Amino acid sequence: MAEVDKEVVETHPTSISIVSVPDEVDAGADMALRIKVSCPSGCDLGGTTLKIVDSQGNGIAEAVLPPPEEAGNEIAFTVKAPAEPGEYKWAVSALPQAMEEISHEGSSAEFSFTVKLHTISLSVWGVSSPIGRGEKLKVTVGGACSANCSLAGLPFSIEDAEGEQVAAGELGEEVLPQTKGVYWTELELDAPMEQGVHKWVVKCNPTDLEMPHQWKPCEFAFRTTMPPEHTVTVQVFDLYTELPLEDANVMVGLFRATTNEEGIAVLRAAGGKQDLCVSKQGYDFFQTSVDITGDETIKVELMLASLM
Amino acid sequence: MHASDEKRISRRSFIKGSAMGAAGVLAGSMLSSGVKAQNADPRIPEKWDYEADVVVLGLGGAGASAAIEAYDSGASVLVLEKQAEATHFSNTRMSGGVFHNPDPSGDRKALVEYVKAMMCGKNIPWKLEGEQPHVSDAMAEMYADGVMEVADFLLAQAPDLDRKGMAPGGKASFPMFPGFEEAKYGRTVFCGYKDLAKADPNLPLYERPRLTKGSGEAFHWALVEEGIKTKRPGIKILYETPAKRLVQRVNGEVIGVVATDKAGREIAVKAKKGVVLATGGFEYSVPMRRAFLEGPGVKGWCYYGALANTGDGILMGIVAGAALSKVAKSASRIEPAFPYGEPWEKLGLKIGTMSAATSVPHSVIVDNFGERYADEHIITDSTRPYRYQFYKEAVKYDMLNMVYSRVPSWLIFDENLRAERPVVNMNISTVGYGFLPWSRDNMDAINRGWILRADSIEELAQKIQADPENRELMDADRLAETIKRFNSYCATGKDEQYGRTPATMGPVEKPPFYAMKMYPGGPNTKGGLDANADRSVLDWNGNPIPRLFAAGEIASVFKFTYQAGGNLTECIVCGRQAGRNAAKLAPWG
Repeated sequence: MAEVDKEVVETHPTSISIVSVPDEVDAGADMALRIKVSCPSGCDLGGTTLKIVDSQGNGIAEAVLPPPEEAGNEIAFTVKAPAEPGEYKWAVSALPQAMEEISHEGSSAEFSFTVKLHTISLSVWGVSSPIGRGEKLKVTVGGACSANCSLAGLPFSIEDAEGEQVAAGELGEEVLPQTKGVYWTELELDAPMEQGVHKWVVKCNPTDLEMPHQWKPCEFAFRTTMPPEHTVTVQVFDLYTELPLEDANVMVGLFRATTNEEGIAVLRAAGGKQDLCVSKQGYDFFQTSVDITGDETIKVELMLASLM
Repeated sequence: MHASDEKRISRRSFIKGSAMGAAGVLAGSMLSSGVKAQNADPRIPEKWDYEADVVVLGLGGAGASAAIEAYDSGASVLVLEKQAEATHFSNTRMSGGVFHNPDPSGDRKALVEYVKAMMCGKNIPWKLEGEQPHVSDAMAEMYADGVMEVADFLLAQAPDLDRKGMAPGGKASFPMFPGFEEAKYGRTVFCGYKDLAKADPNLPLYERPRLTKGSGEAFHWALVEEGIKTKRPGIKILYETPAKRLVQRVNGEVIGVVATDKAGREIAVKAKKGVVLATGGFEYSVPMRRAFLEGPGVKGWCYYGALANTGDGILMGIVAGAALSKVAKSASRIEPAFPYGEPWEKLGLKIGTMSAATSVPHSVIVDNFGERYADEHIITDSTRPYRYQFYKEAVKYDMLNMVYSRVPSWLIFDENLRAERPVVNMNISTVGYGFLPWSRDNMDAINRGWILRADSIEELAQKIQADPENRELMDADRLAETIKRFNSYCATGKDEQYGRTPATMGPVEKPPFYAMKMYPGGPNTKGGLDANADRSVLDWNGNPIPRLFAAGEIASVFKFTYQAGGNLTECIVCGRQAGRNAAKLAPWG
């Protein structure tokens, strides 16, 4: 009898659970899944084949569960998310398998997720505001895709407040340092002749990209002024040591400059009564009113910051 | 007189009265008869391991000033300091080393009025912090005398300090207070040695040669290294000796201190004239922060001074029957803080440090929803009185949503600022003294995840939202709109929302974008034990606890508002007052 018993194959159920699945994923991006399969009798299920299928039953991916001492009957999958945005319901199945005297039944579980459209974030920086009216306005335009697609060569346009296109360009081939995927380019544009604040907007055209993308226009503002006809030289010193202070930020009206090794900053400024502000890390903020009537040299002494 | 106090007292010599004038002790009330003590009160030790006329607890600015003054008044002095000598980093030492030095030609009566206003606002209509009737008048008089001597006191300890940095002048912080013009209280002044300008900027302050020291390091050096160790070697300092409790008679009189020595042994220290509590605030005490600070007091606040400040003296005072006064007051605003170092992380405490980017171009501060809530420049603007009170804005409770929406707040900045400067102060505070690592390019903090980084504002908002401390409040569209609006204000030069000073503005525009958490906090807590003008600690009936004094942050005199440098100023003024008054007392034994 005992020998006969040995030959009898036991059948155990299995259960499958989704340990983690992202709620949202970018279209076409890698999607990380963690699946756990278990047997109520605590059997080693290493070698079990897992299969992921979509709602139509089409196979998406297959993998084999590693030995439990490596992963505890868990497996991490990386699968490509669908390219089309929308709600998805997929299923993962553990296929039945027989090992020595014990056979394991199959099991399956469903999971759902949302595929998002890739989003392009546009940004504008390094705008040389304020600028004399009609002068050359420097602008840097950048764009990044939420799923890190390459945006090299992405065409964009710049429109003024009336919707008139004032410039067009393409993002460059390089990724901006420190970023994962900001593509960028520098432009030199003609500043308007009208004096005042101008709000322009950058728009892009992602139709040539492999995946569909959504984007939002990026607004930026700058100010045009009368031609700054005077040169103001500001010398910045430490009040106590009387040594020149390098890297102090100097601002006359809206014009900015930074002091050099000799503590000197040279700015162009329009005439009239304006605020002069000087700041430097570790020093108290300095502010005064100056009347610019011609080329001027102004001496400023900063006091070490009162920290505690 | 002084030399004898350095000797350890054995039980034997104590009984014989051989070296310490112990006959007086025997005649005192502690030992009633015979060789063996017949103590009725088990709180009073049978033997004293050390003794001095005046025992000072804590060797920051206040403790050092108390020790010097008591010693110069003829008392023997013993100082107990809980930190080790090699790493003795007090709040005073880690500070900016700034203080007050009013113009001597100012009007004294006006000065008293101005000081009184700073202390409690009692003399200003509708300033409701003035509920300290038993201290304000006399305390203002005491302070008005003492503050005129601070610079000279420092120079007397360290003649090589630079007098220029201490010169009176300029405008004080509160033009709306009575006596402002006539008092000539003046701006905050600075402590540095005369060769500070020749200092190697790459050397930490505490490793610089004496004559190139500046900031709190110079202040500490003048008082502790020069004033005590060099000029008054008779003042005995026991490092690594935290005081645990005050020894008190049944009538409340404080006659000594029980402490733990370097070896972890309990020691009894006899204080023949008095004890001065100068142990600082409760910045790193979990239970006190939980008990006293608004909102999430432990995880939601940060302090950037001495990590050894755990409110030890406040606790000892409470046990001894001392009243508390305005305990939740801080000299603080909002500052960054990070989980670092196992002991602190275990306690749930972050180590605060000092921002260098709260009101500089290419940065804004937003709440957890992604909205700006103030002119960022008021946080650091020394010309406006708001400074050091900003924490009151930051702990504001959003009743509709039932959240502390500004805890933490978020400093949002861009690559321009990241590349331009360290966003924290590298010279002083917890970074300057090696408690927190930081690289000048800020990359170390970014790589540790202390500063979040993203290629777009929307992605940054998602990362903020994923931070548990944001409680999923951040709204990406709102943050993007805030930044867009701020950037347009930068272009026009006018912050239409909060009127931020244009020179401190600059757009948050260049990717990547960064977010750093900011918490209410600052250099120190200010509230603690109630103490009068003599710096006698008071009980809950307003009566002095005999022979117990307090000075410094443990019992700050500035309960209403605060001009930068007030802490160090009062350390000297009140420390000296406490030391002098303790030394004046007749010894009990």
